Amino acid sequence: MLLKRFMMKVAGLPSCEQVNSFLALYMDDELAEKDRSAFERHLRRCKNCSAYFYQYRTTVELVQQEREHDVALPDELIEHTLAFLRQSAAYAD
Amino acid sequence: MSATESVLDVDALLGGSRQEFEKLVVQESPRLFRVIVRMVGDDDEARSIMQETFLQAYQRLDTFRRESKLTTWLYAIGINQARAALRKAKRTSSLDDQDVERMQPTFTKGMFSGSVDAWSPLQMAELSERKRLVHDAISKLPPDYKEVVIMRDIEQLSTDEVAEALNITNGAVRVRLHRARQTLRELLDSHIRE
Repeated sequence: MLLKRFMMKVAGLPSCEQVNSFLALYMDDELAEKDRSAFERHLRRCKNCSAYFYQYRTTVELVQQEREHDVALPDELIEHTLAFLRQSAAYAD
Repeated sequence: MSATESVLDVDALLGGSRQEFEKLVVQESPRLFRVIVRMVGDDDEARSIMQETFLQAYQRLDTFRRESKLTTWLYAIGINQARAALRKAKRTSSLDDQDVERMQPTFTKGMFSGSVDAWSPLQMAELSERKRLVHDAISKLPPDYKEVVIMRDIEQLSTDEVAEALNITNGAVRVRLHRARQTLRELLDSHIRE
């Protein structure tokens, strides 16, 4: 592990921990070019970070698919809400 | 813009126009309901919270500041109502902050402690209960984490909008989202590992 860290350092690459802290920004394409390049070079050399990134990205994709499994809206949701408002004393022009 | 959407006259709405406010109800009910039901996990309760949210919003129109989006302001009220309902019902999520902490990866001198076992693409493809697993994993998150995942990853609001709705910084949104995603990864891990 120490040797791997040393090799990364010599190559001017971030540690696994730094790469982990970049994941959300990388996914949002908000990393500065220099950091993005270092992130990707680290990933190519590190099996753990590469596996972890794949799993992190897959998790986000699975969660995003929840959107497609749309929540069924109760019948007349809007009509009932409007009726609720109109009978409330606090709802007046 | 969908068939049910129309342009809101924000000035009239803020002046208390019921007609304009009801346009907001028509436009935002579906998404607001989805956010709230994902937080509280019950249709009837979510409907009641949503109705109270709109009533509170109408009563508090004077607190709306134009620097934020009207919808973001509305979600802030809805999220607070949902949190209050969860507190009142003393309903706790199955994971707490310590569990979330435990599910973050650990590092020794900056490098992964231990090895990360690969996920099997075949296992992923064949996992018939995938949808339920993901749904259950999200429902286990503590509210602070769940609401960020719902708004950012499911409803696709921007980081700025989530930060405004939750009254926290953009940095805090990113940190919570990252920790939530890592917790979800950990919850899915045992089902998908090779």
